[in-house]
Amino acid sequence: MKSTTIYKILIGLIIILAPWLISKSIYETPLPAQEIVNESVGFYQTNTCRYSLGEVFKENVVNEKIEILPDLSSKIECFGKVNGVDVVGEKIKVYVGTNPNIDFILQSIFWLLIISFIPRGKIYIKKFPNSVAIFIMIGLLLLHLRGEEKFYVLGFKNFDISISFDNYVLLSFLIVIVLILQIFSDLMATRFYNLINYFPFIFLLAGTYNSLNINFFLLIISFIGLIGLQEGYFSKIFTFSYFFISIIHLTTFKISNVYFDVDKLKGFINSSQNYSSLIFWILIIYLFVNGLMYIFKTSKNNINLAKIKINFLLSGSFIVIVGIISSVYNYINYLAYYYLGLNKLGIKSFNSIEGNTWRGISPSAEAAGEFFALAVLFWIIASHFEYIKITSLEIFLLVINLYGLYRSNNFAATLSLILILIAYFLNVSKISSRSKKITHLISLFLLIIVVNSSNEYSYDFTSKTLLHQGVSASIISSDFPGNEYGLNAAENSNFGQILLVSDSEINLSSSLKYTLKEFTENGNIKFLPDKIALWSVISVPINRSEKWGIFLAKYNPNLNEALFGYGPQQLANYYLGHPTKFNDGLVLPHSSLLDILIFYGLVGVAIILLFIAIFTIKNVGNSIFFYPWIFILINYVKSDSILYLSSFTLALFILNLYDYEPAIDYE
Amino acid sequence: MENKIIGICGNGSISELEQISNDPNFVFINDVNYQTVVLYNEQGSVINVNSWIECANYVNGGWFYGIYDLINAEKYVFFMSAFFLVVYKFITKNNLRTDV
Repeated sequence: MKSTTIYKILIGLIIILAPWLISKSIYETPLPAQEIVNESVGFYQTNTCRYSLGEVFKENVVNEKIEILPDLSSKIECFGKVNGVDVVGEKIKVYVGTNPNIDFILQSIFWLLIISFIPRGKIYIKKFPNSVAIFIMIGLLLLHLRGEEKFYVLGFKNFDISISFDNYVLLSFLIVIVLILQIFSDLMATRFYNLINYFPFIFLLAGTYNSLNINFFLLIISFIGLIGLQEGYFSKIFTFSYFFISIIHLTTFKISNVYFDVDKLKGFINSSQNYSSLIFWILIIYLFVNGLMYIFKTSKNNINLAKIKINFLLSGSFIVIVGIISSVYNYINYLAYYYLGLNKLGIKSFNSIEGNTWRGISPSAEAAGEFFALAVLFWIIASHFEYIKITSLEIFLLVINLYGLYRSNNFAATLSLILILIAYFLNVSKISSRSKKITHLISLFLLIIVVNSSNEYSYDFTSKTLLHQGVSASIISSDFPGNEYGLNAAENSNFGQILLVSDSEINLSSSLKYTLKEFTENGNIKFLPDKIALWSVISVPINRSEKWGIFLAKYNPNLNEALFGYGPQQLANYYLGHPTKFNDGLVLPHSSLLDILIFYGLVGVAIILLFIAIFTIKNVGNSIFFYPWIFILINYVKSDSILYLSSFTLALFILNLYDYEPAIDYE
Repeated sequence: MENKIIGICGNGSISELEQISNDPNFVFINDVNYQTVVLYNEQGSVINVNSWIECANYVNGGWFYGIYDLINAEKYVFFMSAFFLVVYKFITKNNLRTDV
């Protein structure tokens, strides 16, 4: 092992361990740390900010009763120390002090250290220096902190956004971002072209800051996006359509003093509804996408399929292994959350939860399942596509990924993986083109029969289920009249009657009202199913009727918002703008298409669908792009994956493999 | 506030605290069984309190436990980061180390 690598590992270990071991710097500590049991909770509650996590660990090496959680808003001096202990049911929650200023430095330095392990390659030469891009990034960070002040003030009592020379909270943020981007630029000088082969690791190293509503990769890739702009790289179509919709967002935006609890979407969603936060998210998403496209475009010749496929398997395997360890050992659970930049703490039990799913360290079991299935799919197609030799290590890693897929219990991902693999091997087989077409048609027919036979409900029932769920999620007055059996029109799915009653009795969203009208009042076209009924029928077997029904109940746009959306990463208006029975907890739309509809409206959805359709049809012959891309399309339609930075990045990564051609030389 | 008082001063009667706030002539009496607690205020003043009620009264008035609250640690973070940035720029500019 090279001496530089040893130094890096040592620095990494210091970064991981040291912050949680420092104690007794100022305080006198009259008593040593104690074992955490119900009786000693008072002791820790009295002596807050005294005992480091390391000291507590010495007395509680194995203590299954405790759960370690971050105290997001502690003072810098209390970082890494026990800052609160509470008994909640059978468990004792131990809150360890963390602080936004320290998180920003510590987590960034650790992630930069990880990036430094990417092997060096060809030197990346830029025409212009970084200083302008760094300056703009400082402005963007300032805009973010100003726009989402509410997010920070709620947790961080010292948070102050006023610009002055003695506001060290703000000055620390600004100096640290310069430091991060400067180090990142230097790392990229020799690693830029190799970066593309390490994108699968973004699922393991999520990069979300513990106490900030921002993501490390969002910052550094947006920085690359700015450099790309400086170097003259941008997509004219994307830039024009994006800023056309953004101008409409800005001109029609409604400011509100709401606060959206970002929960597991932390780092990639807007928590506020004001101009500063809207402008920040408009700019950062544009720069982020531009940065990704710039990386993919300029590194095209450096794509190493063999490396990418093993990195997919390695990333998936680490996710499974770290997930298992962190589910059984509380200290690793906390450290994995902090240093991998997880959106939320990993699951604390090895046993599956509701719906028999196990998410490990991923924020969502569904997204985790999609990743494992994609890793397997990519590995099989890449190995077959380029006749890359399969090693025993790969088989071992493949088994771990399959285990992860099994534990995530993502039936849709598993089924689509199998079907896409069948389609792939059928297409590359040597049978005639006519036979292939017939086989595809028969398979499709069989699939419809199988799905239909598993559905035990009648068409009449399933065609109304979605709307019934939507009406059930809406707020209904207690005076709402019932029939002779005591069932009111909402319970009885009598949509015609619902449309006749006043808004004071049932508060329907504009989207639900529209779909109810379409369903009940518009005549059917002969031999064609009604579009709302079809949507409802599809939603039942894939278990989405309830979630999409809630979406309809909540989604209450005016005409302009329906056409152009609320703005990028802007869920606050959708979520809090119209009261329903589901205003607590994070009930997401459960479809990336619906997420896009919220952000960019029908016009945005139409543009994106048109682009996807043209792009997919045009590149149907490129297996390494086409099959994983189809997998992503199928799965993302029924999941919120686009709301997670890692899944969003992965989709763009696969999309950009459209013109992949096997390279002669790697690195 | 009640939790803060209990956290710093220990368990005691909060209603007793409410009573003394209406009595300007109240004199605190040392409790020999009470371990002296050191409290600080924002001006950096220090006070030793020798009974639960005295401790509760001061904590209620904004005094706090530990001098950590007096340190502007963000200032140190800022200057340390600035120093690190200058050193880093110096090293990279003078090619003492060309790549990390």
